[in-house]
Amino acid sequence: MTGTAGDGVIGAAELFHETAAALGIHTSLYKSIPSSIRSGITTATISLWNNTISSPVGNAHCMALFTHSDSALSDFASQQVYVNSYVFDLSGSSTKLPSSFARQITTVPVATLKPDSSPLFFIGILANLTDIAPEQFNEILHCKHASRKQRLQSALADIANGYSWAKSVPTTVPVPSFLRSDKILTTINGNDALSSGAIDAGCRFFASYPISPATTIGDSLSVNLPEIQGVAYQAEDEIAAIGAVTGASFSGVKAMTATSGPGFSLMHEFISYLSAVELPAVIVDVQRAGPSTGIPTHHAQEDLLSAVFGGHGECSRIVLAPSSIENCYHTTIDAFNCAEQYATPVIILSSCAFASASVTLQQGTQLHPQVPILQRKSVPDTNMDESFQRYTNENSTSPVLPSPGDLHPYRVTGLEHDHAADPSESSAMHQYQTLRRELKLQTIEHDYAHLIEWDLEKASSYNADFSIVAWGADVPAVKTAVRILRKKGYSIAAVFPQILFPVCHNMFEKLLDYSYLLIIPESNSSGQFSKLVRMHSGFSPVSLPFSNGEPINPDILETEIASLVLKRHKND
Amino acid sequence: MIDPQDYLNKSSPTWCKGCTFHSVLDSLTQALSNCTIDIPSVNIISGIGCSSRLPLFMNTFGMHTLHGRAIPVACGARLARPDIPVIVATGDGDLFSIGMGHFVHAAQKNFNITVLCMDNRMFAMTKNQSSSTSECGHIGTLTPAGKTESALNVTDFAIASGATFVARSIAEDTAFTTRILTKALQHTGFSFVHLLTPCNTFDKSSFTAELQSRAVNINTLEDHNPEDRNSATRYASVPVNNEHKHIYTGIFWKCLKPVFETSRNTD
Repeated sequence: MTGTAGDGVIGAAELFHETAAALGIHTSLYKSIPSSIRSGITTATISLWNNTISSPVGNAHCMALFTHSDSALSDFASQQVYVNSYVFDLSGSSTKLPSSFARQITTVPVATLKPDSSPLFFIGILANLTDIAPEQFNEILHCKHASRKQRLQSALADIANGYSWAKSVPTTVPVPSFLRSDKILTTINGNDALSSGAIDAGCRFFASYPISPATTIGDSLSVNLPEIQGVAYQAEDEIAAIGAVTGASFSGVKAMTATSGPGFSLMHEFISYLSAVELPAVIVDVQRAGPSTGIPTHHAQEDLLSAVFGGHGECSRIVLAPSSIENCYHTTIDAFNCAEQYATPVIILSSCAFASASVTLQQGTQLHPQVPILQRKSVPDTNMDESFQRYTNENSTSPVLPSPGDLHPYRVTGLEHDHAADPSESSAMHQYQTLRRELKLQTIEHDYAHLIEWDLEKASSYNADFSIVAWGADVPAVKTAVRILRKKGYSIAAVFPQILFPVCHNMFEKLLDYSYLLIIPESNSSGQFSKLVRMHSGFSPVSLPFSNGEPINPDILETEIASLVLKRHKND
Repeated sequence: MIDPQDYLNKSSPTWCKGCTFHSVLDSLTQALSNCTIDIPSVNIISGIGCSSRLPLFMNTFGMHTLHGRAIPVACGARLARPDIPVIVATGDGDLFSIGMGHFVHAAQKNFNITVLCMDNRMFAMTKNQSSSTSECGHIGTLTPAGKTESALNVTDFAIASGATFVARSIAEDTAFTTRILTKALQHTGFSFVHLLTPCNTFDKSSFTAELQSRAVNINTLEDHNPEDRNSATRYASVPVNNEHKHIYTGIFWKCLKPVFETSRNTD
């Protein structure tokens, strides 16, 4: 559904998504919104699923257009359609769409409707196509418009009218089959999943500065944390936010901040500091299209190298990236566990594609931790005259971390320091501490093996046509493309690591057993993960960059991979 | 009663011989003792600079953080552990150049922290550059032709920013400084203490040798009421420089307002 921001496209799409979920239909909703409040083009993509939800975008079976503005037509035309795709033109424009748009176009008579009625009229059409009765939208509409009776009546009428119109007009929309169970399904978006994961991981301090598309993480934590005696703090800028996280962590509390690319850049100095003083902290970067202000509400995964290398000095850190909306919850719990276990900053790379997309939970009505929650070690009650040795090999992982009020006060400093945390300018001590800080992270691939998802074929070993790696919000599209290509007869070894740094060397060594051709599709133009892999493994991956501000379309990806593999095999 | 010396660790302060920061350390440890604050139950947070080395000489919990960023770290510490008093010990460059934005916000929110500004009117650690409190004409290595703008009046600025306790002392008057620091620690709210700490190494002429002889304790003046904003501003706005006869010390401003840690609207 494509229309002008402010005309109700997103609201209508959300209504359909939530109603479908309430009827037991597995569904996803992806929203592409402009960065201003009332201008620009909005697109909502609704998917109904037969089985496991995967990519939230792809070639559409059915499309609705609510405006003929140049930018809308340009966006619309760039979207791929299936051969028999059906376009409903609800713009009310007197200009007909060119036949090159799609084979089947129906102009819907909406001239008499108010501008914000057209999206709900289309929901009525969609309801007819998917066999959902108009009255099944009542409950959610009543909740949305509880205090606005007129608005409620008007919305109900728009849907009913759309439904009736669709009933009276024969169409050949290619609606594929989807599953409808008898259970009410819960929907969740990536940012809310991440916030829930933080709370269930034991986070009790959150500080942030508003920035699209991360702000809603703070919105939900600002309501939920105080209810459990936690703190959510709006800082004056991103540096203050991560500074406050640092102070809270030293004070013994699990702490997190969330930002996007520009704010993340501001945090680099503190990331170096946290790495140097070895304090746990979780920093979320909900990536967006950059550089600089970029497109604040559009998807990209362009901050990987910033996450891995941002900061000065040899400042080790861990970088994780959830591979699905549900994993935004689980990976956040792992992030807090990693932060406590390795006493280091952990960066979570989410993205706009997860932040603003919503899916139904695969199972159950609530997400629950699947791993134990690690707690910080308190100081043993010993004689205070003994000097506390904070920075030793023995106290590197799952360390004893005194906090104010405990015995064994110590001082953290960004200056290089000795075992007892006192400043030291000794060359030998600097070498010892630098290596110790780096080496303590090297067990992560083993300790968190569950964060590496393999997708191999049944044979224990085989020669694959190619291997493929994807991370973060690119994973759903790549999983879908792999499924399509396997059906077409390709043999593929796929792996989806949620640990991006330290690089999983063993994983890449294992991939070499299947194929020397490693393809890495990414939502950035410079192939950032490909570069990282090239630095750390025996592979020279082939990078497939996508940088159009939208999640990768798996149908386009599948075609590009097939073409690349064909070319490679011809050259061999 | 805790012996003030017990607040210090075994390391010797690395400040220059004759540095006035030694006096601040003496006064601070005495003030902590006066307030019977347990050694493990206080967190002293600093930024970067000569003055910011202070936590490293203490036996308490402490954080030597980043340039200009002591205050946001302190705010996080206070929100996470409102039971632990926090002292920010840092300098004029840290607080009023790079850190100025954080100062205003924390003062506005009335965070319950005690902020010590050890003002030597320059960036001393990097060998003398102009700071916000350097006088107009100050010759620094990056301003060899002399600083063009006048000095920021930090006590006036602190009152305008919303601090609820604002005072000044000359560090070498350790008895007076101890009394001021004790009151600052006892105050509930954002306490700001402006400590005049001339740099013995790089700018001896920053203040005149007769510093203490020019000091006037405004709390002995009949026409000053520290709970009267006009009175506070009248005295706080008088610059500290060699052009003025008097250097006003004591408590300029004191009031009680809800502190951010316990009064945030979370409903």
